[in-house]
Order: sequence, then C-alpha cells, then structure tokens
Amino acid sequence: MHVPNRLLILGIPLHICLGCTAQALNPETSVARAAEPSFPVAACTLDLRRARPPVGLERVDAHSKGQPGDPLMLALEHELDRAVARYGQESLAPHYVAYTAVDSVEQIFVARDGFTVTRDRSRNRSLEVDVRLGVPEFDSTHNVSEEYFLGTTPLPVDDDSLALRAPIWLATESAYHAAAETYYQARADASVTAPDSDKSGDFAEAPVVHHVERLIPAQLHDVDWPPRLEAVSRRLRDTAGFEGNEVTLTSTVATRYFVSSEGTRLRASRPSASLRVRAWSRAADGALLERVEEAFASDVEKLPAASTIDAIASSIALDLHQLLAAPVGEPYVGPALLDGLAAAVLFHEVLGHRAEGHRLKNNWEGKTFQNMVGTRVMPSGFSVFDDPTLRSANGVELSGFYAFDDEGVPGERVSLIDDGVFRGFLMSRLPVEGFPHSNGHGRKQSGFRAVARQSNLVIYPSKPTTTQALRKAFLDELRRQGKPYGLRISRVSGGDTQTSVFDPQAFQVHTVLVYKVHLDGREQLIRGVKLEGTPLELLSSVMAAGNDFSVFNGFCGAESGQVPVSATSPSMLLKRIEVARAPVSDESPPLIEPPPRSKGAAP
Amino acid sequence: MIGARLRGWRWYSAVLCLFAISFARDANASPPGGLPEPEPDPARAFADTTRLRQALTTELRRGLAELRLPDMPSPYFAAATVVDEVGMTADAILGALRQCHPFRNRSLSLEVRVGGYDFDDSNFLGGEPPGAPVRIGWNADTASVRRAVWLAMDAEYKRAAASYEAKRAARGARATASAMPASFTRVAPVRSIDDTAPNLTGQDRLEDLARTLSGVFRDSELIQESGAVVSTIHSRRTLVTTEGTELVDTRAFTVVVAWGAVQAPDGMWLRHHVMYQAESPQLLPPISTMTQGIREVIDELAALRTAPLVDNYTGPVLFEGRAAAQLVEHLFAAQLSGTPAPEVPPNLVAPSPTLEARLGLRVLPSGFSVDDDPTLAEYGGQPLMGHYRFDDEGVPAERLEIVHRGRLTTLPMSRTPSRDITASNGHGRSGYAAVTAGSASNLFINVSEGASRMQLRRRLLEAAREEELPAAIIIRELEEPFVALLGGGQGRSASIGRPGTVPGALMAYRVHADGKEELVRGATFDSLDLKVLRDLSAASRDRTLFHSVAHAIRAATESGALAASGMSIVSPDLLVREVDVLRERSPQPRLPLLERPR
Repeated sequence: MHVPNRLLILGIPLHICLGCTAQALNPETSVARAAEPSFPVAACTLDLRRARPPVGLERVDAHSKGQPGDPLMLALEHELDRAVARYGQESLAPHYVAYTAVDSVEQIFVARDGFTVTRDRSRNRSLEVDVRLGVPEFDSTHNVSEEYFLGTTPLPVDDDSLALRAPIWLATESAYHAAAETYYQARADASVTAPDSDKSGDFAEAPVVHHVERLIPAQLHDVDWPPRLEAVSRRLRDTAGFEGNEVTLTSTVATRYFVSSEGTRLRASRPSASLRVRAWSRAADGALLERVEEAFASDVEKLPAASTIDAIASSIALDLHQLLAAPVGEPYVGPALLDGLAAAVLFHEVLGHRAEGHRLKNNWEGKTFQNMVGTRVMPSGFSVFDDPTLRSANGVELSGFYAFDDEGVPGERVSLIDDGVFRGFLMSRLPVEGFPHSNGHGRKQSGFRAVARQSNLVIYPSKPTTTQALRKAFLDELRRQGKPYGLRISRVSGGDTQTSVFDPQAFQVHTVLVYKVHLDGREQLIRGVKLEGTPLELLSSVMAAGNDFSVFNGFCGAESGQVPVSATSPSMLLKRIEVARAPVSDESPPLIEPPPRSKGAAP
Repeated sequence: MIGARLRGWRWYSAVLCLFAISFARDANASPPGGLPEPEPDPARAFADTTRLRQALTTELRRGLAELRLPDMPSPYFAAATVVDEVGMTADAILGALRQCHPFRNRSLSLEVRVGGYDFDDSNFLGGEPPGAPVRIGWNADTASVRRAVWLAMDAEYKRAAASYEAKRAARGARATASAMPASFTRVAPVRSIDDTAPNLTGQDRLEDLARTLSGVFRDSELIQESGAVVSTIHSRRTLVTTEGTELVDTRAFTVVVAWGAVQAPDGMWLRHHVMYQAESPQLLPPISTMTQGIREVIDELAALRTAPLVDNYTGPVLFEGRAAAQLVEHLFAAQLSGTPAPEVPPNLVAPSPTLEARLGLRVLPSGFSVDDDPTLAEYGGQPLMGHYRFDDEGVPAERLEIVHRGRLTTLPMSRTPSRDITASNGHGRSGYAAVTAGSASNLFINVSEGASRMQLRRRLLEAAREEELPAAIIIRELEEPFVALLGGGQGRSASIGRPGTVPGALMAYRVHADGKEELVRGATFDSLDLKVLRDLSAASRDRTLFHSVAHAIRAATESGALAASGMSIVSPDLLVREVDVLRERSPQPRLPLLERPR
C-alpha cells in the first residue's frame, strides 16, 4: 500500500516566515523600481498549520479481516471491476474508469426576521462516473470545452448491495456511451483543425493511492441552534430596523469515496460547519446594501461562541447603518491601502485564476503567465503559494483544506510566486506543455468535471512592515502623487476575472466597506464602487505589506462548479489602483413606514 | 454569481469566464432534500389563525390606504395567502431508501391590483411577473408577519403600477381595445374558518412503505430501472383580502407511485407505473393490493419488451379504461379554461385563443355532456382529487355543465372575466405556473346511450372491416411522461407540459377480425387534436375513474400547495372514428453492454 508522503508531515506547524531575509530586486525586470521607499521590517505574524489529524484522518482498512466491508465501497469496486472487464473487450475501450460517491448528511437552520423558516436535515448519496475512452495521449475528454457539467446519479442511503450496484451500473453504461460520442467528435474535430501546439496529452499519470479513513458520524444540533439563531435574528430585527435579516447555520459531514481502475481507493469523512449572519436594507437612491459575515469551521462546536455571534451581529448593524448614510464614491485612480481580506480576494482573482494550469490548454484563454515562468511579476520580497494541506492560519481554519484532490491525487503546496518571480501553475491531471503532472489541485463541485483550482492561497511578504508604517507610507504616497485623498479597501464581497482571449484580461472586485482617507488621516465611508484592473499592472504596483494577516474563507465558482477556498493575506499598499462605479438598482425604498417594531404574540 | 451554487450549468469559457469568491452563498437557495426531521409539535404549525388573520388584515388595509406613487394609479385590491404545510416524501429503489424528506413550510403570497375592476394591471405579459412566495417563520409573531406583508406588498404595488402603465400603452396601440373585457370580477366576500389540525398518523411508516413497494421489483431481472415514491402533505391555506374575505381551509393528500422501466431489444425505453391516491396514508389500499398492482406493471413491461412494433395505421381506434380518460385529459381537460389569454405588448405574438371561441359550438357528439364539479369529494366510494369548497381566489366552488348535448356551454372561470363569461364560477386555480386561471377539477364525461365494452369492440372491428383494414387498434394506457421525472429520465419525454399534445401509447393492442389481441409497442399519434372528439363513434356505459398523474407526481415531487391542483376524470371508453397511428421512429439508445447486477 502506498502512503503519500504528504501525510507524514500532518500536524507539523509550518512557520513560513522564519528565515525571511531581504533580497535585492532583479534590475532586469520591468517591475523593479529605481527608488523604492523603505519600510521598517516587522515580525511576521503568520502561523500556518498543516492538518492536525482529527478523528476522521486516522487511517483504517475498509475491508479488514473480521470486519464487514463498507457496502458502498464494495459496490463501487464490484461495478468498477465489471465495467473494466467488459468495456475492455470493446474496440473503443476505456483507459481509465473512476467513481466518486459522496455520502453526505447536512443540517440547515435558517432564521429570518426573528423566526425559523427552515429546519432541514438531509442524507444523500450521489455518484459521479468518469469514463475515458482512447489513450491518455488522446482520449474522450480531448479539448472538452463546454461539457463540464456531467450530473450525478442518486444512490440509496440504505446499505443494500443490489440497490447500490444497479444505479452504478446504469450510470456507467450512460457514461460509456456519452464518452464514445465525445471521443468520435474529438477525433473528427482534430482531423479538420490545425494540430495542437501542446503535445502533452489529455491525462497525466498519477500515483496510486490507498487511503481509507474512519467514518465520522453526523452530529445533530436540533435542540440548541434554532433558538440561538432566532435570538440573533430577532435582535437584529428589533434593534436595527433594516428591511431584512437572516441567520443560517449549515452543518455537514461529507464522506467521499473514490475508486479508479488504476487502483486508487480513497474514503475520507469531512465535517464542516458555517454560520452566516446577513442583514440588508435599501438606501434612498435605491441601492440594496447588505452586510454578511460568515464563519467556517470543521465542526459546529468550533463556530463562534454566542457572545461572538452577538458582537458580529452588532458590527453588521453598525456597518449597515453607516453604509445607508454613506455617499456614493467617485471613480478614482491612485494609491490604495487594502486590508488583508480585500488583498486576499484581489490575489485570488488577479493571480490565482490565471495560475490554473488547464487554462494553458485552450487557445481561447489569455494565458497571461504561460511564458513568464522564471520572470519577475512582483517586487522581490513577495511570495504566493497555494497549499491544500494547510488546516489553519493564525488559528483560523481554512476552508480550502484537503488531503487528496477530486482526482485522487495528494494535494501539494505549489509555489506560484517566489520572491517576486513567477514559478508555476496549479495542476490537475490535465497535463500542459512543461507541466506534465498533477500537483493535487484537480477540484470540482459534485457533478462537474475536475479542473485545476485554488485551495488555500497564501500571500506572504518576506519583509512585512507594521500597519502604522504602512499607513504612513500610504499617506506619503498620496502626497507624492498629489492626490487629495486615497482609498482604504476594508471589506469585499467577492470578485470575478475574465481570462478569455476574446475579453479584456481584467478583473473586478466588489467592495463592501471602502473609506476615503484624507491627507490628515480622516476616514470617510463611501459605497457603490468596485475595484477594476488588469493582472500584470496590479501585481507590479504592490509596494509593501503589513504584518496583520487576514483569512478570507469562501466559495469560488468556475468551470468545475463551486469549491471551498481560502485566501490569506496581509494588508497591502498599492501604488495605483482603479476604482469605478458599481451597478446599483433603481428600485426605491419602501414607500410607507414599516409596521410597529413592538413584539407581538404568535399569531 | 457571487456564491450561487451552480447546478445544471453549461460553461462557455470562450466568451465568458467569471469567478467569484465570497462569504455569501445564495440567500434564497432551497435547502436540499432531507431525512426525517422529527417535528416536535406539528400541530403548532396549524395553530389557531386568529392573530395571523388580524396581522394580514391590518397590513393589507394599511397598504391599500397608504401605498401611492406619484402620477401612478392606486391599489384597489390586495390579497394575502399564507400556506402552512407539513408532510413527507420517501423515495426508494429495489427495497432500499434513496431519500426521505419531511418538510414543514409557511409561505406568504401577496397580490396587489392597481387601477380598478374594469381595467387593472393583471393578465398582461409585458410587465414584471408577480414575485414568488416568501418563506416566513412558522411561529412568526405579529410583528414579523406584518413586516413580511409590508415588504411584499410594497414590491407588488410597484410591480403592478409599472405593469398597469405598460398594459395601458399596449392597449392604446391596438384597434380592438374597446372590445376588451373587464379585468376583475366582483364577488361577495366569504368568511369560512376551518382550522382543523392535520392528522399525521401513518407518516412515520412511509419510509418502510417505499422500501416494501420498491422491493417488489427486486426479483425481476428484466427491469432495468424502478422505484417507488410515497408522499403525503397536509396544507392549510389562510386567505385574507381587502374585500373582506377571510378564509381558512385545509387539504390532505397522499400519493404512491411505483414505476419500472426496461429497454426493448431495439433499445426503446418502456416506462410503466401504477399510482394510488388517498387523503391520508391510512386510507391507501392494503399493501397486498399495491404489491399486486406493481407485479402487473412488471408483467406488462415484460410483455411489452418483446412485443412487435406497431405498423403505421389510419383507422378506428378504441380508447379503453384509463386511456380514454387520458385522452380526455390531454385533448380536452388541459384546455378547459375560460380565462382569456394574457394581453401582450405590440412587439410580442399573442398567445393562441382559448376554447372560448367555441362556446355554443359542438365539440362532442350530441349524445355527450360534460360536467365539472369540484364540490364532489367522492365517486363510487373513491376520493376525487379535484375536490375543494373554495377556489384559490376564495370563490365558492360551483358545479358546471360544460358541454350540453355536445355543445360547449360554459368554461371554468377565475375572477378574470372573458367577453362571454363575465363572472367567476369558482374554478380559479393557481396550478404550477402560479397564474390563477380557470381550470377543470373533477371532470365527468357523460353519454346518453352508452354501449357495453363488447359492443364497442364489435363496432371497432366493423369499422375496420369497412375500411378494409386487416386489424384494428385498442389502446388501454397512454404513456405518462411525468413518470420519467421519478427515475433517471430515460425514455421518451415529449409533450411534458404541452397542453393539447397526446403522448404515445403504452399499452396498445392490434385486434384481429376474430377478436384475437396482440400487444404492440411504439405507437404514437399524428395530428390528434380536439376535433377528433367531435367525431367519436360511440362510448361505453361503464366509466373509469382516473386521477391526473401529472398533477399527482408534481404534487409528490415539488412540495408546495400543489396538492390543491389535483384533477380527476371520469370517462367512458371512447371509440374514435379515425386516428393516425405512427410507429415511433426516433433513434433509440444502445442496450447496456453489461447485464443488470444480481
């Protein structure tokens, strides 16, 4: 049995800023500047930890002697063996067959305007089938461009061999025939189009992995949480007077099974939980403003305590009140100070998506960094990597954690930028020229085909400075550029990036809390603006970073659906950033006063 | 885009490449189906509605009095509907549970009309559609209910005012505007309060029932896909209007659907089912009866699998039993509405005219009459699925004689009048598109001189002989495309949701002159429309009770107040003078390379 090396270092804390030293800029690059401002170097405060084995990470044997086998695993293996043997006799035979089954238990509680509107518990099993016909150099996934959504097949939740195997059998048949159709189509396309410049093939080799973890039973939270959520929601309703609010708890235990014709066998249970507090209201000009805070954890018990949730709700209420009274910002170009959360999202959009390796395969992709490996793209002293094996940063659990990706490949830390120099790409098992192997970043939402995706993105400076020094440098830069004010981007809600060659290679980040910072240091909240820009210019305009790391946990959507990700970044000073007006609704606020706020008896 | 979970998403990377990272997931995303969520006190969801009605009334009146936009018409009518529902759906295959989802919801729907009864914003395709129902807390206090009504009414008023102006502009562009009917009929307010608590007895046994029924397919190695779905729902509707209507009523509905599918040697998918309905789980037939019904489905599928394909045929066809009622459902019942088609702006094509154009004309032979009667709860001791006392607009249900001596005399009406029928007759139902329109409920096809089944068969053969046909065709069951929604979606799915289109035949027989019957498969119909009913040759004395499968399956799979929209049909066998039957010609999928697991 093969034991992936990565697992050997589980639980070892990784302090990535140890040994940080100052490095000279490469004078040959366009990013280097003749007169860099200097910043006092502060101690790095980023504490990254790899997975400390929770109970579920203990390895067990799914079919050990004397133990009844796992019925779902047995059913998958049985049908896999049958499919490989039978389809192997066909003239168009598969070179690879894999099943992914997800057995999940999810609880959702939603309180809206003070009362529970959803209290739901679900148990589902779903199956996805990957049949690849042809040979790894050219198979039925060749140049797949639009068929990323494959769908899932529901499986019984009862452990009955026949009832489990029957839908697996039919789904496999369906996948085989669909793959045959796409294979012949791909062959036809290849014969009438110019030869691929990329000769790397369609499917990379990967190590065979056997890793079966103990199943984690779902914990139920029926009693405690609904009244707690209602209390938070009711307090927001009764004290803030917004149009609406919603408090949601989601608790999931998802056990993923993966079996492949190469011999890989995986079973991993992952509990996760999230708590979201959301409030919204409409400003006088029609803009719908909302504040959302969400906490992620590997277990419900690790979510914030009641007092913290109250504080979050209060903070949301305060922010939203201030936003409702804030003026709409104007388009702006100039220096900006990005708080850690905003910088984290910015790097996810600006750098992360363009480092997803499969984008080098398609001719309609912009391929920004294709020929930049070894080239400076940022000032020296800045590094960026993506590491799915990280479990936490400064004590905050990272939602992009996994030990094996959705193609069964061990997740690896990948250096994207090292000391300002671009180093490489995130890879799934789709090889690209010069990057023939997966580094464990093949990811997808259930029902989609995996492509290279980010997991836990970390931006770290080798010479972080203090936040005070960063702010002073920001004000100095404003004066140097002759600006009457600058912008501090504190909170963002998300962003998007265009990587198609038919579109501008641009990104935008949607802001929530943006402050105008005057030269005397005064701050004024504004709303209704978004960040825009292009990747290379943005990266080159980074001047300095603080030592106040923040973690953004969220979901990222792309071709392969939505996957949980994180991005960790210090606050950052940018020499130049562009801000534009954000779209606003033209709906008016409610025409009449709200009904009385006083509590009433249950109708 | 931010945080929205993607399902069924096609990706066009070449032209669009968007990414989002966010704290926020879709706030309105429905939670996935669930497993048993013990309801500590289901009756609380159905507690007395006095304070709820007070809260709704107070806020509706306030909105009607105060909601105003400059230079825009005022609201003249508003209605709030709160639907409480509790129930469970269990789904199993081959004896193993696939999903079990208990649910409990309370939703609020608001309707606001601006202008006046003669001309308002409604029934117009050019404006914004009404907002979807919003979920509210099932124990929400007066303050929360009023806040929900306040916001929903505000949004609906603005939407209605904009639609009013657009509709007025559209009318101004049409020469026939003066001939248009009024927008909304006046009705006397109704007050009827029935706060009956739900009887949930038997709900806890639905999982095992689904296992047991689906397990019947286990021993049949021919059947490739199969399953059983059991669903029960109790709903209570609270309707309050600014006209003074206060209405509370409850409904209960339980349905069992067991289905199987098999491929013929040429790859054609054949999908068959059996369905049982009752008010509550205890009133379902005995398990032995349902099990026997499933065995008959298996036997019929086995016979169908090896049956020859039908030959193309033009001639008389006898629709027997369920097939006759299915024919009536697709050709007639689905189009039975007097609600005028929505008006459209000048740049859109107007929808097809309704059956109203045939009022006074013959649509059936003179020996036929048709009644629609939602006030009836039972027929022959069996429950009728179209029963209700008040329609979705709170209007008392009425029995209608829709066809008298073959002529169309009236149509089911909502409160949206037509040129010829200016009042509601208590048939306004929301259906699945959430647009309230007149629709059928319990439809009775009556014939003055019915024949015996044997006489009908003799007449069929005589008619075939006159046409010099070697054999005639009897159809005993049509396909039910909605059954495909319960499984993997294999097989033909044409005609889902297309009124007036008749799906293919499932159980069709070639009958030879000597009366010998031969099962055939792959029979579809060409140009089968309402006109064929004018030329019915004969009908039987005995009638068959049929419950709309489409309605029942949607009620079972799309929990909501859909149980309210059930429909039953009582029809005699029908001998149609001439039908074009065509052999199914679409390409068929390949057979599995592997045998079904054992």
